[in-house]
Amino acid sequence: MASGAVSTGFTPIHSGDPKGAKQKQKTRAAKIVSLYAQPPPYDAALEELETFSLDRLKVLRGIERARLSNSSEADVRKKTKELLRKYASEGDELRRDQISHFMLRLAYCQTEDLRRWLVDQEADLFKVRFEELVHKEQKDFLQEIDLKVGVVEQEEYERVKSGLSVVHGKSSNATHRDFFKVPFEAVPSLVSTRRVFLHKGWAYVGANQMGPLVVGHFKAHLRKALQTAAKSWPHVAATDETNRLAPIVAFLSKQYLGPDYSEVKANGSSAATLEEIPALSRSHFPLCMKHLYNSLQSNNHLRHQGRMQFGLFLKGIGLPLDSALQFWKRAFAPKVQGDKFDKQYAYNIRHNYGKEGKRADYTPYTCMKVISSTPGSGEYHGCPYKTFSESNLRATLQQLHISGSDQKQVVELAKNHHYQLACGKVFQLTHNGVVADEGINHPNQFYDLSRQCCSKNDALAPATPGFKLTNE
Amino acid sequence: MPGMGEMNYAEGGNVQDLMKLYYGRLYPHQTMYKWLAYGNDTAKAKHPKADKSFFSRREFCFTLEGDIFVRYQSFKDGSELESAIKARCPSKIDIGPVYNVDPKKRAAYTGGASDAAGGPGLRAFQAVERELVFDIDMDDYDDYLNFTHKEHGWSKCWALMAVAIRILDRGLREDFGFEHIFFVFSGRRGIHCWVCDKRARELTDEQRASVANYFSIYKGIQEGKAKLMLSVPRHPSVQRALDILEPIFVDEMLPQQELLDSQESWEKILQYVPDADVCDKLRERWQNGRRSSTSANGEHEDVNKSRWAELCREVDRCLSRTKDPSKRRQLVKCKDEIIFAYTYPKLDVEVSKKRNHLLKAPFCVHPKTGKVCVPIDPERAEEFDPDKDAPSVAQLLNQLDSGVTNTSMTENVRLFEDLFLKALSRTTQEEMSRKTREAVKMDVDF
Repeated sequence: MASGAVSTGFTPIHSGDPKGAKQKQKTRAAKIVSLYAQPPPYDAALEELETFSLDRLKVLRGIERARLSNSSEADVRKKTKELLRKYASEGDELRRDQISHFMLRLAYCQTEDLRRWLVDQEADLFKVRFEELVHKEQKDFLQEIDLKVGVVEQEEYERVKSGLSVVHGKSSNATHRDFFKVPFEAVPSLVSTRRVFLHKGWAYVGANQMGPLVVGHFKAHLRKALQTAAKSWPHVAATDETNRLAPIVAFLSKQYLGPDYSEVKANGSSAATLEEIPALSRSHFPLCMKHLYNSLQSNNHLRHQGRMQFGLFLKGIGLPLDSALQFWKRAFAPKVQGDKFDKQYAYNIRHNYGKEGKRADYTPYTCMKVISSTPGSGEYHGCPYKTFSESNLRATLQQLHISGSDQKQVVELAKNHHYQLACGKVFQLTHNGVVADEGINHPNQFYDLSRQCCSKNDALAPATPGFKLTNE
Repeated sequence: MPGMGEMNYAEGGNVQDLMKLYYGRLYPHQTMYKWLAYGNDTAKAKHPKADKSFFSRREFCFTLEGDIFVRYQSFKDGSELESAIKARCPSKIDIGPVYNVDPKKRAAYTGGASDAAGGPGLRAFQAVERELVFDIDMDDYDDYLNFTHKEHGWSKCWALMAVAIRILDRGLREDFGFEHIFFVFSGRRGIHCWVCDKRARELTDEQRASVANYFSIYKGIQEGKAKLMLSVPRHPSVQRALDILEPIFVDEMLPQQELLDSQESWEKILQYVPDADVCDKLRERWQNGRRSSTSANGEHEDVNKSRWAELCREVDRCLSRTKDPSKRRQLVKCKDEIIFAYTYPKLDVEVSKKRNHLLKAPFCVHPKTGKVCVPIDPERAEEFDPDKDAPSVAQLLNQLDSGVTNTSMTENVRLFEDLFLKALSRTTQEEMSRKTREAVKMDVDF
């Protein structure tokens, strides 16, 4: 955008102080609100990179959960501040913030889904921090970033006052300080609906409307940066950083911050047995696993990815190895028998249980992993909220007796890429209104919550809608 | 002109046959080039800041005989454009956007920008600049007004095109600060508006849509009545529009269209009045034919206008009795709604929303009417008469053959240059010089 003065008189926001002096005067809060335009000028140990990033992920996931549980704006703000105190305030806060932001950029730049997720969560975090600033600090920030915002001078205000009062409502004590002016291009949604006063290309925006404007700028900035990172990171990772940063980045992008369900908790829900599986599937499996189970029943077969996703899930719900072998053998029997099964499939099942090959104990897939896979034709793994067509999803929900506005809500969530929220909503709708407080992050977590909910409900029956369940 | 003088070009003949002569002798190829090069034309290519590839990245679309659409045509400069037009003789020329690369070479680039992180090294082929355009067609007014059943439909409906021009022109200048705007007659029953400021050309699709929506108050028909985006109090731009529209509605549309003359017509208007008692009262009075037909000075007043005055009085009276704020808002709004439904410009917003939408070039010939898309002076929009002021190809060629050196084409091209092109050239010159100064300053700084 042109930096020159425009004929209408663009008065940029002034701060009077030379830049250096201002930097010193900045409060801690003001320093941390940033577009992250420059990479952090710090050295850091590899372990620090990992810890800082994991802590930031916890903050972002917490914000996402708060947002997803339909909390009010004020609640989200409160929760965010709480999370920041807990995970991001230790030591040099600014350094921590900068390093972790740039690490997550690398970890979440590779796919459209991951980028969208990071942009949304970071924007929410940014918004809370920006709105915490006092007016003067906000003004300083607006000046610092390359967003063309002008102050409205007294004299100019007198000229546009009548127009402003029509759009913003009459207020006897409004002054020129209550407004900023921005190029109309910066506020398309306000222009579209005529909710802003325009004069000679300037949109006169109320000071309280600045938040969304700056957040929009932040998002656009981050989106661009992530695309740049996506292009360059593979080249960097393949050479200099193969053994240093690359493993951390790979680890972070798959990070799921909850129990990994690799062992069935002794005290938790009792281990599943072979005979129980059909019944358990009906009442406690999440949709992704129901879909795999039903497909297995009707096809007497599942392809590799499906066997992995479903097999490890079964392991996670406590099905012992010998039962698992029996289960798969029985399911495959009409198509694959005896020796052929033992040769082709049994190894794989024992492998999943850590009894073959490098004897690693494989963990059940997280939602993130399930969502990120794309099933081909004849494959049934992945997350149904993502992979199903809208009509297919509607039909499936109908079978779960979810219809009308509830159905619409789930479909909307799925359509807007909120697959885990959609799953959480379905959990609530099929469990007498019980809300999964932590959100749904893992198919096995869905299963565990469902079973807990049932045992509690037995005692409580009939269940009270809205009864909250905590998983701690 | 030996041998040609005897020829006479008939109106309504095959336009296509005349096109060759039209493009050969009348079409202002170089004027078009001068406009679309925006100061980057080869004559000034010496200028260090001129973008030499600019013009060649512009898409032209030719419609050839048999309605064959040939998209993504591009030309190095004005003379290449001129030879192509003369050689292929398109029945219609559309102007598209300026792309990031020569549209002829688009195949070498990836399709969309759906995943910018896509293949390494592959740039997406995409539109980067385009004039902001508006399209208004009288056909879209046919649900409200009837211009066909009267013999001189043209001049009557033109008043509405004139207010459309006035509303757009003032809004674009006063609210959005644009300066380089021109209007053309579309060749049949409408107008096109081109906004050519650099800032307008660089708008994203989202920003274009927002400007189009800002002007788009009429949103179609719902349950037999116009759906209008109006609010109380009126947005300043809506107030301005109302000031322009009200006299046209009252003094021209009401009497001409006989909007309150018969039961059928007044029922259409009464459906906007939100109070049943008011409607009943007016109906009763109008049905009984009680025409308050003489005004104070004894002159005969038009019945439609006097009934409109009655309607306004009754609505105001009802308003003074009403306390409920939402009902009050409806009452305040209803007169606006009627006026806007019948007279506010009905924009075809889809044309404005996307950078890559094509629009017919000025000075093109309308394939059906044979009329030329000539510029309209917004200051004198009311005086424009499509029948008289928009020449047909046949008329022009006859003028030429009768030995006139300055055909009405010459006048129209001069009008285009005076109204629009001269000021645009000044601005592009200034921009070039500013860029040069900045570049020099940078050199000094380093």
